[in-house]
Amino acid sequence: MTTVTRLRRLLVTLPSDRMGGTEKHTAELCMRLAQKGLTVMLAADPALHAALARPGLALAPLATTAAMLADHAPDAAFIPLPWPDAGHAILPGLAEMRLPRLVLLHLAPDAPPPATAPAMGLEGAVVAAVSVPVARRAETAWGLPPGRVTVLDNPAPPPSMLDRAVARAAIRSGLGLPPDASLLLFLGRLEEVKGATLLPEISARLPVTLAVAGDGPLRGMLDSAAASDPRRLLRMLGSLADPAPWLRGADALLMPSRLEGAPLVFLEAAAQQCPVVATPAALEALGGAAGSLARLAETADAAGMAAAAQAVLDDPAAAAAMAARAAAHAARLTWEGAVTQALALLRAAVPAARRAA
Amino acid sequence: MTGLSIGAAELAEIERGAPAIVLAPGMSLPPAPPLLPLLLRDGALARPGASGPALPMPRWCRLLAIYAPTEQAAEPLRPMLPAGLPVVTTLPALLTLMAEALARAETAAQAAEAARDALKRALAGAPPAPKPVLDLAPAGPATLPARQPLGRPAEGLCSLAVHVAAPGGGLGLRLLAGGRVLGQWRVPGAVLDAGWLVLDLPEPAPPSPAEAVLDISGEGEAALSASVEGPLALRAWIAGPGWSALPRWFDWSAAGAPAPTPGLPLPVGAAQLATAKLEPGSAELVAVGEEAPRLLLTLPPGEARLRLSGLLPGPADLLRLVLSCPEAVPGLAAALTVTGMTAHHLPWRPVERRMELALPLPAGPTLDLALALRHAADGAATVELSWLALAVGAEGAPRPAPPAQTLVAAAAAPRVAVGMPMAAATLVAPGWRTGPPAPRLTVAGPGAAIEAAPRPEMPLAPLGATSFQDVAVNQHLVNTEGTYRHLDIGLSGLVSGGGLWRQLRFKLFDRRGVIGLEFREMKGWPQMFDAWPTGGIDNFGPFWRLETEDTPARLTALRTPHDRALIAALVEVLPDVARAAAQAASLSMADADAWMMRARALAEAVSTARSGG
Repeated sequence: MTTVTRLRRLLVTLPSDRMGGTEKHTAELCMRLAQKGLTVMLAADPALHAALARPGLALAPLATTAAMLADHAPDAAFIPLPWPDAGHAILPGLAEMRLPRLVLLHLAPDAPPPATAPAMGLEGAVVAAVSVPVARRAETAWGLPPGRVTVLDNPAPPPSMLDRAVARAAIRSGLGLPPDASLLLFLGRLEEVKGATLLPEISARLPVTLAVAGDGPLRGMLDSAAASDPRRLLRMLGSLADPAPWLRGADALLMPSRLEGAPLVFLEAAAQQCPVVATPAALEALGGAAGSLARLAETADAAGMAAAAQAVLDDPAAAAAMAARAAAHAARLTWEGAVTQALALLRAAVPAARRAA
Repeated sequence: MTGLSIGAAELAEIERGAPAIVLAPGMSLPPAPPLLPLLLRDGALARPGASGPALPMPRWCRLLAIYAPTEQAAEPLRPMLPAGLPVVTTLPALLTLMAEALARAETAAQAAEAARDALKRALAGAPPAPKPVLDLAPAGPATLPARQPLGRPAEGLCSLAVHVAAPGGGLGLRLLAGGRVLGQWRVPGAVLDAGWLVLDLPEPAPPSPAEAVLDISGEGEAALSASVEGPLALRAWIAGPGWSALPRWFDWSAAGAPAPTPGLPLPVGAAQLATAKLEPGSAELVAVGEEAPRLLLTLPPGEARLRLSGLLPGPADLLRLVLSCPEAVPGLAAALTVTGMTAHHLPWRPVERRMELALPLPAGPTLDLALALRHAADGAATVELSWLALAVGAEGAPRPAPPAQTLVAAAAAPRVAVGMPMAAATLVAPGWRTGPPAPRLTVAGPGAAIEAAPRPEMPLAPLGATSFQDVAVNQHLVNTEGTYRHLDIGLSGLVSGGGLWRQLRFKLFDRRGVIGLEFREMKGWPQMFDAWPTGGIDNFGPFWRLETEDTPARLTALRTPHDRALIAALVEVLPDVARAAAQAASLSMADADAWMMRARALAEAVSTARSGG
């Protein structure tokens, strides 16, 4: 007769040095796993603890694998990775202990396979990624057979309850714009990979205000560009505590990214029914559906993005229909579904670890 | 005696069997549970020093005696108390009185049992003949499934007959009355011929005013006949006490069960899943946190077979299972066979990431399941049996009841006059679960008949454990904006160390993230509280809500210990109740988990409020 293996203590090791989408998703997912009766210990850089704090979540500093295993005595481990090589210090040690473990990769570059597959310690682990393209790139980067990496979809926020007219008026008023002025929005880390370098030229090509929210290494360059913009159409907002009203009130969100995993900002915009203008690379995770859920730039440069943005502004009805389709897509990606999937992967990690023993 | 009241908490103690005496002024007793001492003050009986809401003294409530220093000291109390109460003046006399009352109660119970057995034995040699009460001739075909009301109470029914128009598959028949299954039959197709099919009950149906309803489902080409009047072609007979039969194709496991809710799944529990065997390969039960375990199957390359034996179908008609693949498994396919008296089979079909299979159940007291799996992966593959449940099939198309003039005017089923100390004795065959078993007796004083109030005895629970008997869903509602949703839940048989509550009704709601319970005082809702907690009032009448906001303030509305015990017990089982209700409402597993989480959030809020946190 079969006995029950019950996983009660989950060690989560987050090898990140800054707070972004991966880290926010990890904290939210861990909080919800804790609500399912798991004792969750999230080990991360202490500098991130304040931002990672969630009800029911215990936080600890990252330490050596042996020390964390000794301190927390977990039944299983969950290792979210912001980049393919981020887990090289943790994974081999967990593999040696034959602990049931789930690895989740959030982003991976499109790179040729390495000459020698790295020893990642993935034997006996359940490996997942946030999108199909990231999953395939993970298999390439880690020398895994095709189909070895499964997909754990990012969840979307719940549908918006904000009044669109009120949000539109409020954010335009805050910018000193007329109530009927067109407004484009960028929301994300101000760095090269997010396409932030293109923002000044995109703005220069369009006769509408482009509000830029976020922070990052390109902040200084963008502040200078905004200050020197004679039309004052490039506006810097800084980091937003609550981007929801901006997404609800903007005419479109720009995503000029060069690389994305499963971008949470797209799902946030979709939940607010904000039309999205993006490079194909930004929405690679959507596969063939990207073209119906967002306006894709024909070229991944400022000219392509500006032309696509102008097309959205010129046809509000088509933009609204596209945003509605995106909202329906996002509505299917719930936290309940993500947690259900994560629990299934954790359960599968038990026989996977046994097979590797 | 006019206008006598009694404390709600004290009444609850007497209901649970505590003997109660009235203390004359100035008298006291050392604590001697279960003895309940009462003082009469301002027309209400209550424990010395107790304060709380009082209720009118019900007729069934019996007092043991008046405890006074002398007979004269008891006189001022008599006008307010039931007539004929004895007066005891010493403790030894009081104890003797208690012992005598307990012995009488025990003797009466034994006498009632003996009388019932004697009656059945006396009649067994010459059982009464059944009398026909319904005869509708066949006139044309009828479609299945069907739900046929019989147009008369179920009381006394001993046999039914349906007319088989075309044999071609098995038949499933279920006789219901008053929310209970009186009998269930599964007739295999191989034994069916065209013509009348007679089905017996093991004993005549017990007294009940509830109308008898016959649910019928068929397999394959099986068809029944309808009558010219519209209902199915039917015959029915009644018989008096003493009639019995060994019924063919009778499903003993379903008899006496609550009437099944169409579509309600009955998940196979972990204990039974643990007996499943996968060959070749391995099966293990895995759970995360507090969830129910799932069966994880490790399949070697090629084909494997999972076997699970001894499933008891009860009232279920369908088997449903969900397979899911946490990781992609190339070429995964499944085939399913369920074997009873015959075998039903689902051929090979590909399995994507998640697949639900459903298969009607064959006839048979127990069923064996065989799930075949194959895949094309190079190495071992993991597949999860996420859910395995038996379910009651859809309700049949309703048919008209037989017109009154078609009912045979038979004399009432003869009753044998036997002097019995208890009123309304019910003949109950061993193993015949008509519903609540043995009545509870209340200890009473001399001169008052020991009242065998037919109060159901709730399932035994360990001391301090909280449990409930049944969950029904009245409504699942989500508003169009998605900002409000509720489950309107009926709960029966809630029992805890603090009390027993037969029927509850409440809404578990989520209003923009605020979780709560809503109780109403209105028609259609059972009386749940000793003292209605002060809440609000709207177009539908008074209501009281217990929410995750302002929880401590809301709890202060509960005025009696019994009512506080009710909420404590309900909150303790609320996550399980919420999950069962969500499943009964055919919500997805994710939604069921969400409702359970909402219930858990409310339970935590109440626990924090009660602990002063």
